[in-house]
Amino acid sequence: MWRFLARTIVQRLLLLVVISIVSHTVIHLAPGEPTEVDSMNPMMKAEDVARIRKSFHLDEPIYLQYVHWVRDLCTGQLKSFRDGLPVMPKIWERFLNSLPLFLCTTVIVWTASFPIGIQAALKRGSRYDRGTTFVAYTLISIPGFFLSYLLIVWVVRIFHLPVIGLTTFGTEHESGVVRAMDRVWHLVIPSLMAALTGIAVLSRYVRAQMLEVLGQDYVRTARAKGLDEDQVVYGHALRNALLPFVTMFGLLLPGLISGSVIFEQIFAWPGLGLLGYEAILARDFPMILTLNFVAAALTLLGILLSDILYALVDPRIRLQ
Amino acid sequence: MTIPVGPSPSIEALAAPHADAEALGIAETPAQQLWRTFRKDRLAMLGLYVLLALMVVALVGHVLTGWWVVFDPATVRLPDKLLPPFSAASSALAPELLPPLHSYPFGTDELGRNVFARMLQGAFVSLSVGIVAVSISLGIGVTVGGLAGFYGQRKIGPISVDSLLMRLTDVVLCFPTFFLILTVVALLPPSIYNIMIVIGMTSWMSTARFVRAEFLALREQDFVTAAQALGLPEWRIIFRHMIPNAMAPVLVSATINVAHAILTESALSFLGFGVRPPYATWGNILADGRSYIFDAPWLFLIPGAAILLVVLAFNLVGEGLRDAMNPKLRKRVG
Amino acid sequence: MQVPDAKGKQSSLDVELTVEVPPRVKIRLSKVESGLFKRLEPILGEGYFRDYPFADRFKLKKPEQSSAVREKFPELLAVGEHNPVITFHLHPGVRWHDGVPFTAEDVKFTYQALVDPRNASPRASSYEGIKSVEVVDELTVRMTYKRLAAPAIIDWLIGVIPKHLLDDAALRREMSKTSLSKEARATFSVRTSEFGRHPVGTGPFRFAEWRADQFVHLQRNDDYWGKKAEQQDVFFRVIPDYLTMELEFKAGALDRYDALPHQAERLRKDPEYHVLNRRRGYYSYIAYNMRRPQFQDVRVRRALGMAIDVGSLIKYALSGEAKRATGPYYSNTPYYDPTVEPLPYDPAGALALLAEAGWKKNARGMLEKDGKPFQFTLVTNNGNPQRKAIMIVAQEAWRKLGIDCKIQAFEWTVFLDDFVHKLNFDAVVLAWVGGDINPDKYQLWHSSQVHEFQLNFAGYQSQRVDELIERIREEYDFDAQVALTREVHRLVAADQPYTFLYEPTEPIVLDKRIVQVDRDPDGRETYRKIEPLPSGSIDVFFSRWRKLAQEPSYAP
Repeated sequence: MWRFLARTIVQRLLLLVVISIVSHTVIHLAPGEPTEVDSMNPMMKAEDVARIRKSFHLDEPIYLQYVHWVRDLCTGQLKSFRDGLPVMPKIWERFLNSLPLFLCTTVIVWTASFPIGIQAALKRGSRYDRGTTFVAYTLISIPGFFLSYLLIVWVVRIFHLPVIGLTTFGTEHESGVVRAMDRVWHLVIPSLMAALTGIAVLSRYVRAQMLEVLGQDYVRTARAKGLDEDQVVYGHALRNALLPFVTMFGLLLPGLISGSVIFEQIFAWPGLGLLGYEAILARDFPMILTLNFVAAALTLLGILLSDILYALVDPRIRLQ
Repeated sequence: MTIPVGPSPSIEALAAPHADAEALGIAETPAQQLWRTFRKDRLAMLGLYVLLALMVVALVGHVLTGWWVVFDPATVRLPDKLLPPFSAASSALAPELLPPLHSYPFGTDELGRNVFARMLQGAFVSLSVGIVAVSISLGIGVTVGGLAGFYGQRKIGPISVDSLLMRLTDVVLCFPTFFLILTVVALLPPSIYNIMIVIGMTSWMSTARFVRAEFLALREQDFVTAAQALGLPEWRIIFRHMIPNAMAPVLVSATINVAHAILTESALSFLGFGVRPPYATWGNILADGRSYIFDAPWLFLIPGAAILLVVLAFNLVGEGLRDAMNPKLRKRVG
Repeated sequence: MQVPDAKGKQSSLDVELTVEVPPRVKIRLSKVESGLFKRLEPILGEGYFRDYPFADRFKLKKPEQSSAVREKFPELLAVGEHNPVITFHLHPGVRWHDGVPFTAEDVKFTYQALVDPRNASPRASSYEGIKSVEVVDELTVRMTYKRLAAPAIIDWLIGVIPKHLLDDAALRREMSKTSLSKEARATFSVRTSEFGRHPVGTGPFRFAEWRADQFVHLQRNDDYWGKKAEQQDVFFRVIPDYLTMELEFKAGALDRYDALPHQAERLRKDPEYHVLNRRRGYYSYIAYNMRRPQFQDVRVRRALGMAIDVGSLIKYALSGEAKRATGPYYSNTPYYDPTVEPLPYDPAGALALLAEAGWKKNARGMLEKDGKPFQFTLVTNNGNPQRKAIMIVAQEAWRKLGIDCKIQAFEWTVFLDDFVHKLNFDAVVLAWVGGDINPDKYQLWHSSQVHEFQLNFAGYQSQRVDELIERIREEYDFDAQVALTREVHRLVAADQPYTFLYEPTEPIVLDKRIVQVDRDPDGRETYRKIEPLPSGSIDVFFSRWRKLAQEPSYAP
């Protein structure tokens, strides 16, 4: 197992380097010379190009450019175009805001999907199964921004409770308990919205996996041996069905940045997604590039995590 | 949040679709068999009808709003602003501004534009983005997966083709696609073609995986060995024999990818990227309508419902195809 | 010095000369007498000032330069010079929010900062007429101007900045605490100082915090020299869209916001809300970059304006809550000429004008001149639904004429920095706010203000308007001044460098529990419902507002 892990870690580190190179090359999508700027492209102006060239040392050979970027990134020299402040502290601060949202969403998704999916697999073909199937498809298909606004408007209209932002404005002077409750309340609705699609997809996947496993020979054997149904399902089938989900867990990390752009914008949640969106609007190229890299690095971390978990869980690897 | 749709659990079962037909002694082509099973799924059929209707509506709408203009999506009629669906045009309008039949089936927006016309224009945009983007992703995915599956064990230097291509897939999978798309859209001039290309270039990974798995299985099949023995050129084996057989799961994933592409495009226009005004897409009609949710809820509900309906239809059809192709499910009784 | 060359462009020329300054008579008047020199002519001789023999007083080292330099003689040797003097007596006991006393030194420093080229202030032109600012004592400032300056007192309504935080010594201290590159140090100025993110003033509220994209927090200044504010904390929240604003207001997390016309229409009918109409100097317009070839013909600009149905825009999109704007002065001031008619809505007439200017429809129905189609981009900022509506309405109106107009909206700072300030646009939708009582429109309309970062970004250059603006600055007689401003209004309206659109009334939605607290001499409090003043302003007594636990019943 350790050899597997070591090999995996090395592979992923190499991948990280490749990703950083790819992230860096995204800047070359921008016009190279101020003269190349398309006059009809209002998104990019000649002055921007000069600025980009200077900040990213584009006049130097390409490998030096990369070195400059990595060095600036690590030493905190990389400054945002928007207000001249270093990029990494801002990203860290916003990351801390995104983290509770992500954790809450993940918890909701994973705790809700399994029971739903397993039940649907066990009661295959029944009303429950067909009902949850249809609801799942609807939730996958409904645009998140659509449903969120409907929910926000409903909550505000009926309950007169503020939903937007990290906290209710004006509660800074309240007691710690009230503030904590307020933060939890503000966390619930966006997490729920973000979780709905996740539940829909994951529960379908759970169902499919369970069905697959339940059809296997060893399950039939276990049943034939006279084992009680619960033991068959939960003791044998489920454990094997769960294996792919371990890998899935790690792959959810990119959700920290990507899915959240829309929800953070709607709920005015000052996290990484909103930071990226604002950076794009303000044409803050250092921030945009760094965020892309951070996003990719997080994903890589997730893949690594899932590899490790896989190694720990899959007996075939563990016993190697 | 997005969860990558991994390989279907029954991928191995799909590896040999012909085997079952022959074993059962049924003399119909796999396609007919597929269709027969598919037809039984009522939800999937409903989805199919919706899709066909959408295609007709989109094409006809494109003609009626672009070339032979019957419904003009850009005409501003301020006196008729914020009218609910099925209202009649007011008499204050100049004759050349009047909509067809003097009525607004979907009402008007804050500038008096005909929402029905704008939805028609948006239908074409959504559909074309979905189809073109997925075609691009199919092209890339089949190429990458096919090469990895067929030539997998050949080595280029120290690394095998399969390993190289799969690592490439990993790299692209690493990037959270939505944010990457936003970045690209920010750097390039705003245009619908850029969006199609970028969505296409970030959604080929699952197709590549499926195709690779299919090819790995198909390569061991007799007909491939026979073709190689006959001395047929490799490209011919790949294109004329293997790819058609590998298409089954690709079709499923393509359908679902179209749904995803449409959702992505509407999210991009909702955020303000994508086509510039006055072109309407369902996403930006929704974004504009959001401020009027208390005064004119139809501006928000109609495009949202439309997106939901279309994406749902694609998903149902895709799932229906997947179920139809799964012989294990087919064989099982009760 | 800067002199015009053969083509009239300003260029630098090195001139060496000696001036023989004759003795001068100094006359001190107790009030401004702008016609003084004219009145002295019967004594001194007709045309004394106009025909003064400057050439006798100047000796040029290179005599061939005399023709180029001749224009500058009156500037270098003022024959008749007005030196109006304003003396300001400062209120005693005023302190900056950090406790340092507010003195005349701060006023002098503000003047120096305004005219310092390093700071590139667009307002500099209003203060370059000052000859000297003298600190008489801690509480007295004397400003001497080098020519008549009628708007001088109005110009001094500008805020004063603290010397102890922004003068060179303070900037050097600030720089030493931060790590800056060499280029950054060279250009470090008031503009780039930390002060911009943490301002210090002398008013009833002090700056507490600015959390970017979230809010600006002000706190009551308990050391205020005047009546202390009612509120302890005031937050200006950053909420990027109107729906969220309304939702936050309904949920009680917001006490006041500027509503959109359609929201106001709905909320006015609801007894739960208190909707006020604020009026102030404010007009929206479409500005054309007159440096671009297609906008150089006034007929084209007029035609573009005539194609837009502003009346309908006001009636329907703004629910009638606006007035047509016709020119550069606000309609609530006497400087505005009420006889100027707004452009009529006349698309056919617009086409005719365009045809006159050489734009004819081609085979595809688009306007074309010399083989080039009429094409341009109209830009504005995000987040403003009225501007977006204007853009769409204008685009559609022009499309019907056969003009291909593309529209795009950008984030506000990107819009200003990359398009407006850099003069990098074809046409923009914008608005002017404030400066109601100031008749001086030098910064906006004088031909010298057409460079980057200055406010005449349309590039309007009219000799007659320049002359009038300069005369307005020197005209102390109110009626004479009004006559001049009205002429400016007429001329600019005729030239249409902007399509002047409308002056909106702004609906403000207020929580009903907010009242204005009046104290009578005995100290008793009465509550008054907040209403706009006759001038249309709402915020004059802002510091007297208080939020009660519930809506009170008002005294009859």
